[in-house]
Amino acid sequence: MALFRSKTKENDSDPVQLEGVALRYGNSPDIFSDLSLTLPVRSLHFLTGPSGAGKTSLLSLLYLANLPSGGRLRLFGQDVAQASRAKRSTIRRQLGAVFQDFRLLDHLSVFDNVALPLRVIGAPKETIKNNVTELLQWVGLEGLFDALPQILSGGQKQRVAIARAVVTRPKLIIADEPTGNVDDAIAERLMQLFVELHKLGACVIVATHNERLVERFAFPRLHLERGTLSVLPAISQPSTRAV
Amino acid sequence: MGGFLSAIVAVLIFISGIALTAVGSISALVENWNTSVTGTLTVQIIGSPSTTVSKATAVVAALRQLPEVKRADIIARERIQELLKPWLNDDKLIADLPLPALLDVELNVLSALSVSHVTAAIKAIAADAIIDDHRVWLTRIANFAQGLRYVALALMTLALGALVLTVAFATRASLTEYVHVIEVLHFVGARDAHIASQFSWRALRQTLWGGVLGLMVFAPALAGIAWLARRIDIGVLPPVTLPLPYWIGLGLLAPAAAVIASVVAMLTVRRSLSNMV
Repeated sequence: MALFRSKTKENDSDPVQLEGVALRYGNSPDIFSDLSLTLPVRSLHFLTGPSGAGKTSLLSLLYLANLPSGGRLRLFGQDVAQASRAKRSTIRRQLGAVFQDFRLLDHLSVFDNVALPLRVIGAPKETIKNNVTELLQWVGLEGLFDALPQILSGGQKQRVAIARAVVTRPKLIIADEPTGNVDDAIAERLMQLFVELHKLGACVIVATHNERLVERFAFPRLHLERGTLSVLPAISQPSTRAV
Repeated sequence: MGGFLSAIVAVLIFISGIALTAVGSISALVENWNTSVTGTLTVQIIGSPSTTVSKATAVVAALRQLPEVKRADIIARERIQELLKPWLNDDKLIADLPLPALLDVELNVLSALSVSHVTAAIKAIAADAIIDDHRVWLTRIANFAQGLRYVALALMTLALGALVLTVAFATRASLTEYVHVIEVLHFVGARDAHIASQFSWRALRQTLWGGVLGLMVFAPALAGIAWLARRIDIGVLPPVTLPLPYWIGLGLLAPAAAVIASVVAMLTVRRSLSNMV
């Protein structure tokens, strides 16, 4: 697969650095405060924790939907609160996010949804065609290139969202429940995609409630509960280094 | 944003065209009446046929000496009978009628002074002559036409104002359903200027297309109105046409609306983006 052929040039800066990070919305109480964490390149972590613990809020900081209300968040060495809007756009181009609600564009075909990030960075047409085609085949959506998202099942939409998130070979991949709507076989295949990308140098964070997936793939866990983030080792034999 | 913006602009351009045509036609009508009627007087000399003819001849001779008078003619009795025929439809009755002598006088300059000078000259010869300078009825018609012209101008101003406001609001309203598109483009790393320009160009194209569509519907509608006006054939209405400057003005409306839509789209998208990190 062309997507996996060449390795990403590794960045000296850790993709994710949190120093005493806090988040609250408006005048409401802190969702969490004082989170500190560093995630290096070539790493894959599950993000676990009970519902309402703030996993999605933490991810929203990482894909720059929100800014921390306290502390410092660095992505690729850049303090996101200090970065200009143009700089934040540049940071966003280095990360891929899979949203729980997919956020596909209903007026675009499956192919065009996946091609969108490549078009935004001005990739050549041939590259777009090859990469999108191969990726859609990988996630099992061949034959649905021209379909509009409205006719897709939840699982198919999720796979389109994942394909869109990884099509540019981002250095940081943030996935919020990326296997929530697919069966175990597809979930395993999608996880394999994240594993391959992490082997090529990406830093991958997968928020999930799927315990079987966490047990099946031996990667460390970031566990968020009651505003505290713990780094736990992989459940089965560890195959990656922990943070 | 789709066809909604194009449709709204097409309708408003069409209405503006109709309003412009109304303004142009009424202006031409008023102008036509002013030039064709305001410089004339009609003089009636009442009495027995033998005296009226001699008085009329003397008055015409006197008037032709005056510098204010461009032309003075006696309207032939046959012509007066011809004018009465549609109303009375009885040749014998018309022949027996004691008709006054009618004079058609055209002045070089219509002013109160020239009318009073000419009136004095007529009265000196025929004291019982009735002089109609058309000012009473003409003033009423002119006031009416002027009123119509103001209404048409107000209609056109309203149409233009509605065009500006509707384009602005339609563009903003259309964009509210695209907020998620803006959001997704933002999340995949598109720069603010790039996102704003995409929507701006889109609004520009759709508004221009709407303008062209409006003109395409207006042109045959104008031709239809002109054809209907020609069929009236009473010589009172001037031909219904849109002068070139009006066409140019109408043609410029679409680009002007497109620029407005484009700027509003850019500002709206920028505002949406400013709410995002």
